[in-house]
Amino acid sequence: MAKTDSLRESELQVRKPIPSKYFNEDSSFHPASVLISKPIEEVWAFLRDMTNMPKFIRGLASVQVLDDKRSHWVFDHQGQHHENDSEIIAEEMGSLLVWGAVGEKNQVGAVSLERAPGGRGTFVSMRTSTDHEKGKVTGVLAWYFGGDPKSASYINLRRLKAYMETGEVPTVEGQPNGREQELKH
Amino acid sequence: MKALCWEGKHNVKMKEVAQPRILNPSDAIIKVTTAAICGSDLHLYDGYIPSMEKGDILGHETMGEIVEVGPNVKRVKVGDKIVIPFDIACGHCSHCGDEEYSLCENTNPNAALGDTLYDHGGAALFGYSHIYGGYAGGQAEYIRVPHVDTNSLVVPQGIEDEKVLFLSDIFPTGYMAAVNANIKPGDTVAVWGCGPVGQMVIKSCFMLGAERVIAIDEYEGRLNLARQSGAIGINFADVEGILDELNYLTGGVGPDSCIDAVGLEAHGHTVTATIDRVKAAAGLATDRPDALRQAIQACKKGGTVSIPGVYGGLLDKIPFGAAFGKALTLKMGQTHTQKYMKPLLDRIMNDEIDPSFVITHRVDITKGPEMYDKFHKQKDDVFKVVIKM
Ligand SMILES: NC(=O)c1ccc[n+]([C@@H]2O[C@H](COP(=O)([O-])OP(=O)(O)OC[C@H]3O[C@@H](n4cnc5c(N)ncnc54)[C@H](O)[C@@H]3O)[C@@H](O)[C@H]2O)c1
Ligand SMILES: [Zn+2]
Ligand SMILES: [Zn+2]
Repeated sequence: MAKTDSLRESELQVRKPIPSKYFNEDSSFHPASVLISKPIEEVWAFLRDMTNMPKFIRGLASVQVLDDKRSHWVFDHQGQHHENDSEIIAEEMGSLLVWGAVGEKNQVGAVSLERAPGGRGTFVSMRTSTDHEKGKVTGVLAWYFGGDPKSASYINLRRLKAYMETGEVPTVEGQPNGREQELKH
Repeated sequence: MKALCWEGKHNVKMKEVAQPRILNPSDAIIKVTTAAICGSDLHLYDGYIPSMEKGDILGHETMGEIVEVGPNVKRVKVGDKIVIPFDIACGHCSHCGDEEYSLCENTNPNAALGDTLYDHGGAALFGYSHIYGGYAGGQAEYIRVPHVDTNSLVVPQGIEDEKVLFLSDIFPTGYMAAVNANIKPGDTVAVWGCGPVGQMVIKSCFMLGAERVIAIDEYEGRLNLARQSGAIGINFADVEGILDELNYLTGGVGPDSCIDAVGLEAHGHTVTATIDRVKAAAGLATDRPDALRQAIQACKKGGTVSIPGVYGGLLDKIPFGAAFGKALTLKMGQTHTQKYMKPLLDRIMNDEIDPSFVITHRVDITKGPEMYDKFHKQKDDVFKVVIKM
């Protein structure tokens, strides 16, 4: 994405509030936010390519792009499996991206971006919705649309930051410990 | 492989566990040759650090030989002999860019938890609870090291392990504490605590130009080691008041710098299990900051208080008015170990210091559980334990 005109650039220097209309609840709190030490162009391009989502969203195993707006998401986490189609609901180039599960109006995610001052990278905010109809979200989706959506968003944002800055998400899953033998019995 | 596992308060066991494997592309697997038990491990042993889980592998002072590397490893290679810093840094974030490695943002898989406790949590640590990332430690035959290009110091083949092992923690910790103390030639520095960290602080103060170092503790064995490094030792159990003593020794001026190498995890650290409790406990003290109080009170006007000792919670009755009135500078934090490893290796190679002078016990891993017990009970005899694999 090229720096086009000055209007465009000034728009990148304000983080747009994520519109509440996409979510089934109002929140007076700010969404979870991180600073990623990468240019806004790079962060936007990464997030707009839905196949990158599994690289940082916990429990999301794969995403297959169907067309410019739609993609197929496969969640696999701790023995639970869930699949759905997702579509981009709103998009403002470089600054706002809203997506949601097709036919499940309570599963919405959104990010908004802002060029940080001092050439320090990009502020990224994320908001995800809870599923009120089920009372509380359980299983695989809890990791993503979690029971506490702000925490889930923050965890996924930190994973996004680590992936973009270092090329990997930190993990200790699969390391040895003194519990294994006991668990086997 | 064999590993020392935390099984609960005052309960360390040697267990047979699986070998670590590469989990991320910048990882390496190290065959451990020597590891040490640290004063900080005692705080785990005594059950003061929340979020330990039964079976967690202990240890954060570790060195060994690289036996396997992931596809993104560029700087080090199989066969290199390395010392591993106790804090885990990514080498890419803005803090790593500023050489503030212990403030790294990208190594703690439980960063959200760390942020809840400390508002903005720091780097992950090896073998030091799940708040600090839950990484398996190095008191084991093998250890996995993430971002190994950043988290390693390659040492010359053939050098004795004991001479360089403490580059993993206590030597850089003592040195950074002395750097943080803003020492100028001719200065007098007072050091609270003559544990292994305090001993490294004392040596480092002299290296950086201090003329007089006053060391404070209650164990004569530890004070004697400090005296051998050239410090004046004061046994706080033997004097009327430590502030009176320091005033006398400095002609009423106070030490130019005061260094707290005690910390208070060992004493009043009552941050027990839950994180929300810490947040809820606003107004309640969690730590027992006697040494810190004295350091602030004793310090000269315009002086510096440097704090390598670890604090974990909300501190009570800190003489902040004195700190303000005297326009003190306070510096603190976990050590940016990676920043100091190489220059301090050079000092070791130039024979300016041999950090192995703190070692009192050398054992194999089967004796590990027994040494934890002794270290906990006999502070005056058991000073620094190294485990040979
Ligand atoms: N900042 C870091 O990155 C870092 C790294 C390593 C260790 N540490 C911390 O440094 C501290 C010291 O570590 P250590 O391995 O030397 O521990 P240690 O327990 O062996 O030594 C502490 C010493 O302080 C003495 N002491 C206790 N109360 C005192 C008082 N009121 N006045 C004077 N001395 C007193 C004790 O007798 C003991 O000798 C610990 O808090 C440890 O967790 C910090
Ligand atoms: Zn240590
Ligand atoms: Zn970092």
